[in-house]
Amino acid sequence: MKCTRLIPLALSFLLALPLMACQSGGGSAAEAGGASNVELLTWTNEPTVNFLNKISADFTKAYPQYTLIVSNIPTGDHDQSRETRISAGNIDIVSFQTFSHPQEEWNADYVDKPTWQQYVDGGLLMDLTDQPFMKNYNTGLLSGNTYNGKYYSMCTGTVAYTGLFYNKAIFDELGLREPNTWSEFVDICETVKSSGKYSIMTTGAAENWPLNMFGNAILSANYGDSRELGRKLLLGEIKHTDPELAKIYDCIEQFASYMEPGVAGVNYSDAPGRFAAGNMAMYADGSWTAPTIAEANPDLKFGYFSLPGLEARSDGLPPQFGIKYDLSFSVPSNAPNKDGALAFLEYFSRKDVYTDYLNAVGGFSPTQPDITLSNEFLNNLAPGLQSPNINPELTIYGLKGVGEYGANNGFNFLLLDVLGGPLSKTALAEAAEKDYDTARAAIESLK
Amino acid sequence: MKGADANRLRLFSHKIVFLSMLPGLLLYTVFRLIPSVTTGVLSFTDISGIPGAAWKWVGLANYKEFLVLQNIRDLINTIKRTGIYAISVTLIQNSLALLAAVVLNSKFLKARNFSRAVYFMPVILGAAVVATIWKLMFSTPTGPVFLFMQQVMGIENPPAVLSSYSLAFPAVIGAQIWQNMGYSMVIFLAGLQGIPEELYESADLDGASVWQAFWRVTFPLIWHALTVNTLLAIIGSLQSFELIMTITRGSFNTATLGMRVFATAFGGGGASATGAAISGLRQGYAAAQGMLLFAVVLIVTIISQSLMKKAEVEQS
Repeated sequence: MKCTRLIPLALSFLLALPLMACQSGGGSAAEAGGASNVELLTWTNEPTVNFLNKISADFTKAYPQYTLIVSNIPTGDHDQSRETRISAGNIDIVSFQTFSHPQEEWNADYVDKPTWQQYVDGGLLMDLTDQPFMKNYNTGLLSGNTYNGKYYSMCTGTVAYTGLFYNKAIFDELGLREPNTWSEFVDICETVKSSGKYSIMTTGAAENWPLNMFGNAILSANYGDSRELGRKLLLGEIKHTDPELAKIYDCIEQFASYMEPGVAGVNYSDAPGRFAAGNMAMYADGSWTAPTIAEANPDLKFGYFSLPGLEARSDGLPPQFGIKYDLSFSVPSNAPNKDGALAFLEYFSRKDVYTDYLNAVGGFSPTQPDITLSNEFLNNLAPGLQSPNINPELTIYGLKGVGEYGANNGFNFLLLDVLGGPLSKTALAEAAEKDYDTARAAIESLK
Repeated sequence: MKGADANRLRLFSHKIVFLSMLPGLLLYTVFRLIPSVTTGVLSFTDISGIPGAAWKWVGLANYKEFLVLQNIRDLINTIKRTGIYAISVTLIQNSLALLAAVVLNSKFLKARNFSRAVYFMPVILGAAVVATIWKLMFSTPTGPVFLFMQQVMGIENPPAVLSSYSLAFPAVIGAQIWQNMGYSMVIFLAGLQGIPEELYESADLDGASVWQAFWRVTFPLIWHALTVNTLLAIIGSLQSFELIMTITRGSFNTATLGMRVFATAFGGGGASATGAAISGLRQGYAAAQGMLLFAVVLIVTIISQSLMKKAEVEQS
């Protein structure tokens, strides 16, 4: 009899345990005098995640009352997870990339507010402008990452992303060198192709964005500052079918045609390994992947060059990289452990920790001044970073209500027949322009 | 028993019945009814889903935007795709489930319970696991399907199935069927186990073949199970978005209406129904789409149910 009473009692206790545990997280433990967790959510980038986990113990030494917990989510699912966690109010530090594409007076009819702007306008992200650790950063460099002149994130680095990794052994064997013009780049591809020994290039196209990133790289190489192009495209002052954009479509088609067969199915996470195996001459991805390649094959000698424009630069510089702000930490206003979050950002911003971070991550250029890196790969990027271009991904807007042919900020290159899509370059340009016209007309009709 | 006692007993019985129903009613009200009504109300607002953000009543603006602003060609394609998805899943899933149920109901089959568990397993795996399995199977160029096409079928450049405009959609349909077939099978099995053995013995004495016994005895007696499975498959596939979201994120002509609603409400790393730009976090707009999807599901369900009933009457 006693047993029959005890079993439900024990079960009830067991069921109640998780609930009791739920109530003991975050600040409550700190109030009780014990260590409390500071949870940081970011996307999966192995070197970054490894570094954050590595400094966790040192952070606790600096701030004994806090313990850093790093949660990482695959890139494709990260934003969804971040939104859920912010809505639930159970995350202390979240990760954003660039705060780009704001809805402003001139484009208010044509674009929706991006997620970050909704968060800031909704008072969900802390204003970090006056935090002492922000003084460690190069505010001039970060000025493009502000909103209404205030900092809502602490940007940990910029990335060069318009380049191609190349296998130095293959380039040496075939007598190739880094190209300065588009035709030189095409010659490289043709030489590798005619050698018959190596695949020309790959990328993680299964996730769509890497290929679109290189559409933007081609725009960047040819337009430099693409803000005006972005404005004109949105307002219909330039058409996809105009001859100057037709040249871009030609380059994109040519670029895609040199990708390895079946590239549209190559997962982003598999692509570095395919290049690191040593039989691929080039690999299209951002500089942040350098450590992953090095880890996959420590013996591989590789370099990174910027995709060139149709013409050589008039200023005599080599092709310049397009850059964008990358991993940026923000603190939600409803974070359960705001003090702990700010303490971590302060710790991370210390010059020695920050330098270690950049050396460990390997693909980011510093956003703090006077940082000396030991990373040879990053130092080799310097010639291409003398006059970097603003990333078109940040300046060209997606039109509200536009159809699929005009998607991805107007350049939905995955629809090209060379990549297994249904349209030729001419048909895609015409279809994109038609979708833009249709969307603009619909917007006008709703006014 | 005296009259007063009988009344008390009746009252007590009513109370017991009501109390027994109460947990179910409460759960239904809290988790179904209130959210559904709230969604209907929110469809007339511009709520974003961001806690604390201001929102206001916008009347029919969300419905107008859905029907006017978006690309009509893409919308029609999405509706067509949703129809193909629902019809394919309903027909193929039920056919395979019925076949599996008949085979697994056979008393001559060894390891019957084990086989049933194997068929049912995908149901409990969940969308994320099923999607991972599917992505691994079809990954390029190291997945088993790719290698099979290349090395066994001799195709020089096999297509990347999940990134193909013609093959990705059938692959997603396959995943939905594989995941849910076990559930339909269990319902069919329950129906089959309720058929008395004597009916088959009588049919056998009358000289009925196996097919005739199935068609004249089994099929009419599991009609209710078929009705339930058909409706569940139609409703499930019309609302489905999890597998599409996790396998292709709506790209490569795989987006359905359910996927579109989800992408509008929650975004998700560039996920969109048509590949077009949907920034997410527009829950008022997503609620309007959800209400329209509800209307579509309701109409299709009513039509299907009346057709199934009519067929049942004709059979009997």
